[in-house]
Amino acid sequence: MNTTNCERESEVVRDGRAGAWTPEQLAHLASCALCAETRRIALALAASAERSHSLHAMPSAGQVWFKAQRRAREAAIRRATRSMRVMRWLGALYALALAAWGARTLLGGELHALTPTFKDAGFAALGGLGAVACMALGLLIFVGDGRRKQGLGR
Amino acid sequence: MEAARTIDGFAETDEKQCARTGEERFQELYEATSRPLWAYLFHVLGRADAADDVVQDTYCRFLERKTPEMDAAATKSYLFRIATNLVRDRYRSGAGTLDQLDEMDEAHREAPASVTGPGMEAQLDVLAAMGQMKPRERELLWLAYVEGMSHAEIASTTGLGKMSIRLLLFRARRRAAQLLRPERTEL
Repeated sequence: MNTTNCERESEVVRDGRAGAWTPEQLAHLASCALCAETRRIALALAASAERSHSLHAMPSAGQVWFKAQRRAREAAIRRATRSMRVMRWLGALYALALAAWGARTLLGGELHALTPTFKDAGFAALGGLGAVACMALGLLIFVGDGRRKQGLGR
Repeated sequence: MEAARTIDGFAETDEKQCARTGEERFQELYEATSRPLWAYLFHVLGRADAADDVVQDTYCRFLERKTPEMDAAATKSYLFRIATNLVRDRYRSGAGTLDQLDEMDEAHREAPASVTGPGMEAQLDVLAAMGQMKPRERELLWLAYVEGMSHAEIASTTGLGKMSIRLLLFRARRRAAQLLRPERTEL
């Protein structure tokens, strides 16, 4: 035995709950302050646990089961609509950028800019690249979601 | 023993078990484990309503995670681990402010709605003592002395190092011994 633990502590906890003590164990309890302390605390906690069990009305298994099912459905909906939400935001951003470019062109009296020039081809290419990047991002999100669903089903 | 058999039933995969619905198997698992889990949470959190919430969240998470087959002890330990993590989340989130922690400790000192009838004083002493201890000390004491978990199981459930459990448990026990009045706890 050392000053912090007694090797028979787990035995004291186990047998204390069963309430079966041999004379040898009782002799050990009388001589080991650590085990006596452990026994006192374990019995007090166990009695408190017993009272709590008997006095409290637990929610039924059915209630918890249906709550879990509802949460799983909500999580599935969130996952399924996440990519759509992201695409909607990206679409809105893209439309905003397009509107800003259009307004600048029209209000600035640069209507001639609408006729294709080499410079505008550069802008168009930039816009096209933006669109391709958005599509690629959307595709990545869809593929990622699909893989996640496959992983969950395993 | 009966409880262990019913928990094992949750993990069985033979044809007969597969034919049963998931809900029936869950019901058996719930009946076998929910009361010990609730008592643990009630004594750690100090509030019956909070314990109810965390019990429900624990089983929801357990069902969401589609856990691999486990024996009775591992399933129970896994449930306690989820519950312990949820308790930590509660303390860390909005509930993690000092005011709220004080409120929880206060709740330990006051008589909860579920504490009435014979043996009330002894239970109030236990709850008051738990209220004056750190949440981690409450967890360790309960897992070791009520659930009878080994140091390795406690380490796995609480996420603490296996080597530190011995010392932390010793300190928690000393503190509990000081706080629990011998004349009421001497059974």
